[in-house]
Amino acid sequence: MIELSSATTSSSFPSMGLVSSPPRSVCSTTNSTSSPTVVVQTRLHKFPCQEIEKLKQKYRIQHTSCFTHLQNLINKHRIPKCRECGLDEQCRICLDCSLCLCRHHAQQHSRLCSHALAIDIKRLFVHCYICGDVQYDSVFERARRKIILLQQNSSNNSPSSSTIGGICGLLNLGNTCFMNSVLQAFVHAPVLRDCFLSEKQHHCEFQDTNHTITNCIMCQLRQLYHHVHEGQQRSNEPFVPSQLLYLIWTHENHLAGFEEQDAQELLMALFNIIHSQNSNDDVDDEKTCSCIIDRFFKGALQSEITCSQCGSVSTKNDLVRDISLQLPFASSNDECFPSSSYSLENCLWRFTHSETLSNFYCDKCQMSMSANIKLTISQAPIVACFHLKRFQYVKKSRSKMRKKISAHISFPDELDLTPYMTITNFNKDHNKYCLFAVISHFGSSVETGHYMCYVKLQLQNRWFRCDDHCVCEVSAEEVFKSECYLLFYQRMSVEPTS
Amino acid sequence: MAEKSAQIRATLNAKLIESGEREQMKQLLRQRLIEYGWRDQMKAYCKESVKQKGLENLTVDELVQEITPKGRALVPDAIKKEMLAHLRQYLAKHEDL
Repeated sequence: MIELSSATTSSSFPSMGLVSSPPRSVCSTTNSTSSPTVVVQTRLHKFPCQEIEKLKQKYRIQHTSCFTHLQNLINKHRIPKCRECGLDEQCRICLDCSLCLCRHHAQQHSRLCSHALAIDIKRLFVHCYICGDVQYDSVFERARRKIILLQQNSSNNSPSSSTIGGICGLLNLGNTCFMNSVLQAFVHAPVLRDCFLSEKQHHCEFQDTNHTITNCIMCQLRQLYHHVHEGQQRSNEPFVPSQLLYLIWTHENHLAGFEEQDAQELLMALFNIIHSQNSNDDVDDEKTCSCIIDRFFKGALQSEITCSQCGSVSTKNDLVRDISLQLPFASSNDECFPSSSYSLENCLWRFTHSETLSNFYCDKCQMSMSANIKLTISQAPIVACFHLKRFQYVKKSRSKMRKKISAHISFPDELDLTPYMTITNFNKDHNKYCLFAVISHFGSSVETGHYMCYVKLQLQNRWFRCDDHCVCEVSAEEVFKSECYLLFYQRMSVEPTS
Repeated sequence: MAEKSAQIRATLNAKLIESGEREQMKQLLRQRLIEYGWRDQMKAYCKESVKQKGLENLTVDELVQEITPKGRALVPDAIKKEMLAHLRQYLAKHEDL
């Protein structure tokens, strides 16, 4: 259970606008006339803490780097022990010189070296020796909550079994769990195995003369594959996906930076990069593109609009690489399902359920009519990625925090897409899919949450949880109980692809 | 006599820490305190103290000093009994002490 004890005090603190308020010494009494109580005025003496502001400026700490900074400090002192006396209770880490000391010696140290700030190693609150008290800072608080969330998740980890081949961890480079989860899911798509493992020496089809191993995504992915499958020999050291990260940053600028991002956006970005680097010259004719994305992930949705007046039907096909599903209770119009039965099938049903459009311009009738629109899957891809729209932008808050719908949504191990497909002549057995990866999200928003990927080792039918560099086997129960965000299914009995 | 019990206590403590049992008991204790509503009680008491004394007059340390005696007194007997029973079980299993 996350300890939000500091949250109760934070609500009585002034809004973030005051963080950049005038220095402590200037505490004008003149503007106290508008404040409701005297308390507000005197509190300005202590908050915001000038020492924290100075530290943030000195090390240029912002929301994103604070987490990495704190995480590094904690990792440095996995077994906390006071440098001076060896006591291991209530240790603190000095934020200026990262020494680990017990409370008594930390206080001594702050006097001797004029280092004002320390964090408690267990609870991660910031103590200021000048103010003589714990201080609140929104940047540190956000980092703190995230670290605690991660610690609680990983406390369930057993040490990763170092004898499993075909799976390995990915190092977190600073809020990159969103990328790590997507890479894990991608790497474990059964159909891609042959593509990446067939040749040791890769003759890259990347046409550009600027091709190097670092800027070619296929070469990078190939490197990752080889590391994953030869991991056993290296006692499963985690792979460091720094080049992949850089590649993605340079191609998709909106994902650059050390902020936590949306995993689905990254998935689409990854697809984009692969496609753009590997598509054939005739861009117009999308049907002939032979990149792995178009061969395995491309599907098509058909929208059929029936005019309610004249009955004429207009059909449109859209190519898609994933299917984004609204959650069945997202809008108030949905009273179809009781709150206890949220499932992937419900979402798909809603997706393909016909809806009424009120303002459709019918060519035949030559005016705006109400019409029926029905979406169906006209071409099911070999690998079907389902995206559950859990994150919604909240307009009222000043920050861009995305609110998350945390309800549990069940999903099956095997999925038959037949009921959601366009009715044409097809072999019904070709629409059965098997789950191979699940990306789940933990936490209350994108920015303070964490992604983990569950993958199934096909040959052994065992599930593994990939939590950045920690990989361990888990029960199927844990997988199906998690808050799924992205689901990856592969069609069973795949025909040989051209 | 007092020396011997102090020695036993030290040995027991060391054994508990070594085997990880102390950490597990701590977790169990945390869980029980939440279940019995002790944490909510303490939270309310903290809020009260802060309201009474005023936010600017209180440091975290002072607050802790204030609430500690009340906290100790408020621990339900059932939890104390359970923790004792747990310890007894542990001792019984590890008689080589």
